[in-house]
Amino acid sequence: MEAIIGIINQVHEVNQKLETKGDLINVSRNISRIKHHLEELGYTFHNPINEDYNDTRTDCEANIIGDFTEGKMYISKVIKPIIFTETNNAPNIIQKAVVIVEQKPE
Amino acid sequence: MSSTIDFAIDLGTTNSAIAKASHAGVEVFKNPLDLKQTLPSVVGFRRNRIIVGDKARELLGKDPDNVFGGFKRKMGTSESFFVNSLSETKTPIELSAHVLRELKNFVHSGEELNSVVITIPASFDTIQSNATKKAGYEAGFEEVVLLQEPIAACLAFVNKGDRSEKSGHWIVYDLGGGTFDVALASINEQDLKIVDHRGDNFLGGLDFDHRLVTDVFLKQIFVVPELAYLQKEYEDRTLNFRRLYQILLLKAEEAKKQLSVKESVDVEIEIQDEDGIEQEVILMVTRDQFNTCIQEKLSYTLTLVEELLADNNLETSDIKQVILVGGSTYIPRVQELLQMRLKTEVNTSVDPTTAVAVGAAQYAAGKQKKLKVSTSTENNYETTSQLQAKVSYPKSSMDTEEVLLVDFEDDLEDHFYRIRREDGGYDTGIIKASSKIREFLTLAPDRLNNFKVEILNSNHEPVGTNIPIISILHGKFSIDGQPLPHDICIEVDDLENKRTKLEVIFPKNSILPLNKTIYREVSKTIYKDGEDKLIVNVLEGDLYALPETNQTIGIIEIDPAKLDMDLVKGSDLEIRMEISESRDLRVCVYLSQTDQEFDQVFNSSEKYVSEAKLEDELSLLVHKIRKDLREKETQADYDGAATLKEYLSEAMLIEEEFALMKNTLSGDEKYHISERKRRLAQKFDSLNKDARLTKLRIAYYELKESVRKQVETHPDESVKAKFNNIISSENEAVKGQSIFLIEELIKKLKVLRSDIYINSDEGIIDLYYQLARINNSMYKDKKLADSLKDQGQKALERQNYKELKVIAFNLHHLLPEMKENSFLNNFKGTGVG
Repeated sequence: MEAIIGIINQVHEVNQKLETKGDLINVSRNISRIKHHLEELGYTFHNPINEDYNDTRTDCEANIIGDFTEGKMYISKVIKPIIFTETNNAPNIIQKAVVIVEQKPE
Repeated sequence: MSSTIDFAIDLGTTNSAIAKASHAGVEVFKNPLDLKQTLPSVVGFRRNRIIVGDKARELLGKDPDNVFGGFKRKMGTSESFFVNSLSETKTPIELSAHVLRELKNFVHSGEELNSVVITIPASFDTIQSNATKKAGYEAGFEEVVLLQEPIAACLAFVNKGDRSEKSGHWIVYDLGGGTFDVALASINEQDLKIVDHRGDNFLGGLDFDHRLVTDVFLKQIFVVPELAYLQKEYEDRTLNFRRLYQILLLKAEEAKKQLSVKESVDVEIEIQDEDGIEQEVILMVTRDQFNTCIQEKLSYTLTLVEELLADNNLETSDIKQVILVGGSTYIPRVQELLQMRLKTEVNTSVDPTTAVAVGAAQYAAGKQKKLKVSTSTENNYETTSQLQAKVSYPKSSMDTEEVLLVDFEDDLEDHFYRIRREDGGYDTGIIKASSKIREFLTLAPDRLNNFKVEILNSNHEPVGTNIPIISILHGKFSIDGQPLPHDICIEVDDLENKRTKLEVIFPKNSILPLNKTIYREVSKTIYKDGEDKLIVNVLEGDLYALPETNQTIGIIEIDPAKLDMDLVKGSDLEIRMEISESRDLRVCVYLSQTDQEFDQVFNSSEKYVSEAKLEDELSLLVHKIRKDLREKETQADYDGAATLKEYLSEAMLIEEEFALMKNTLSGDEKYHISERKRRLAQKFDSLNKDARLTKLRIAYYELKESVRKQVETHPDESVKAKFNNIISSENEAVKGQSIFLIEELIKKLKVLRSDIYINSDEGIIDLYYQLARINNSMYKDKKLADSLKDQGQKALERQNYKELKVIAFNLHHLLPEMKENSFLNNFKGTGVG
């Protein structure tokens, strides 16, 4: 399982690099294909970038920058995505996202 | 119920853990929320909620008025913590009790937990020890036995090896995430006691991460010309820089772990320059560099060890061994330095992160409970009585959170509640309950989210309720939407049987709208200057029926002339299908080899007929009817033959009409012919389908029994696993109506049978004899066949069956390929494999 988690983290990083400066359009098919095969193996992952953050979110390990103000925090960077697996139809989180959290810009 | 305590808790300054000893060994329980074996000893009071562990640790330092850690150091003192959000004070005992309660939640076995061993530092005096006991009672334990941490660690190591050989003095070196402790233990046949100890409450692995960032990473970053501006941001501690620092800390922690096994590590990071352009930086860190960073701190820990020895008038040679406790002892330099300075064996045989909990559980396993098994009726009443509540929530949602309303019939004074998502991704923490609860639940995307609502009594123990598991489906429309009336399939080639078959894309009753991407391979090379087309045929009907009996609702025929180059067999094919709520079908075919995309929207009010395909299907239908007719005549089944004759004439009539149609300009005629063909194919398919299915089912069961006998006596476990894997899908196939599925299952069993046969000595000898009996003139190369037979004979005499296997295979390849039915040779298929 650790190898799969490693692969997913790499796919996430590749995707992020492509989004910022790469040729995402051309390789998005390949990324989708990899995701499809991971799904066949029972693994899905989610990038929570820009989502709201509060301390009920136990799907993320947050590193909080600056002050924490309830209801005003968001995920500004995702180092690792949330990885889910499914056993007997019950979803399970096998990796929490590692994220940077900060206050939403005014 | 066990008469010994069995359960133990390592109540640490930074992290805590709970373990249980049983006959099978010690189990360190995992946090159901994240499957980690440790829980940060941090408690937060956020508005009306109590949060314990990781989420509280994130806020440590961010919200110092409401989030507290390190309170173990204050145990037994009069110091207390003022909680701003509650406007009340909490004692270290109360905070510790919260951690202990949370650890109870880790125990998944549902056992009642009344007695426990809790570990304490060797430095704890009587007041501090009693304070720990009190925390245990506050957390709901009725019996608390204390055990010193270094003793617990020693026990874990003692139980791993031979105690008599190691009698004497041990050093327990405990370097955790935030604290350092060293203890001198004396151990002999009867006794295990702590002689003396030293420690530093503010030294641990986290300091090493900071040093790696400041001494190595930042220095390398500042010399990159585009990033030199960060030096100033560092000095000013800007928000931008603090964000970068957090990321670097995470990278440092990862690098530190890798450096335990590797000599050097490259850390890749993207940092924005002054113009906002991402610069990729590769930071190289070697183990030597890391060792230099931590040298000073490690040296200090060793000085404490040496002081401890000197104060107890001991030489390093008096120490039998050093045992390692705490995650930071994984660092190779720690072990090297200890060995170098103390010249003593360093024992790393027990996982240092859980050694204390494991040793304490082993102690608990031998400790008799003083507590009698509770028979209190009051207690039983508490667990069996049920609180009645009405719940209200949406069953499905497209939003990222949804509201849950719980309305209790009774007043819930002195009760709390907690809601957790079953996948571990959401936890409200412990909240004071009222008769009406309203909570926003965060949903994981595109899946079923199950939430468990727990109502807790004043001791935070769960009480019975009628609240079911709250299930909310995210990202999908409610099942009240429009279901598909039939299966939607695509037609793919079955090259082995020279026919096409259906592969279901959206099964009947799927809720619209739908979309799916499937990946296949091209099943035949399509030459740019050839005539064969690639056909993606989407059909609606019964997935178990023959393709020609279903209705085409969309078809993309890719003309070879449109291809940029020859499309090679085996290249990838991506087919994306979308069906809207108004039943428009969009098919998009992407050929990865040529990087071409073909996209078309089909409106379900129109029919799509491919003339080439219709012609193929008609000749296939005529061929099949003829074949069945011959069979019926041979079996003297005249009734069946009569029906088939009718079908045959109908089919031939349609073929004639089709030939005529080619010469006319009428555009509608093909739809008519296609419909007639489809109806005839349906009639033909349903004729004797039951009889065919029964025949196949019998064949399957007979084959299964014969393979089972071979598998049972086979020494290789993987063969048994393969067999069980094949028959695990038996129910679906044999009870269903699909001829394809049973055929598929039979095929798999046959492959397994031939695998067993070919991999056994008897099988290979048998195969060789069969091939040797064939006249040389039948082989493609007579001379070579003769020579191979010669070699085979010799291999047989030497009983070298591996060699015989190679010879048999070579002989087999020399046989001409079997002639196939001339009609089947004309099989064109769709090109979709």
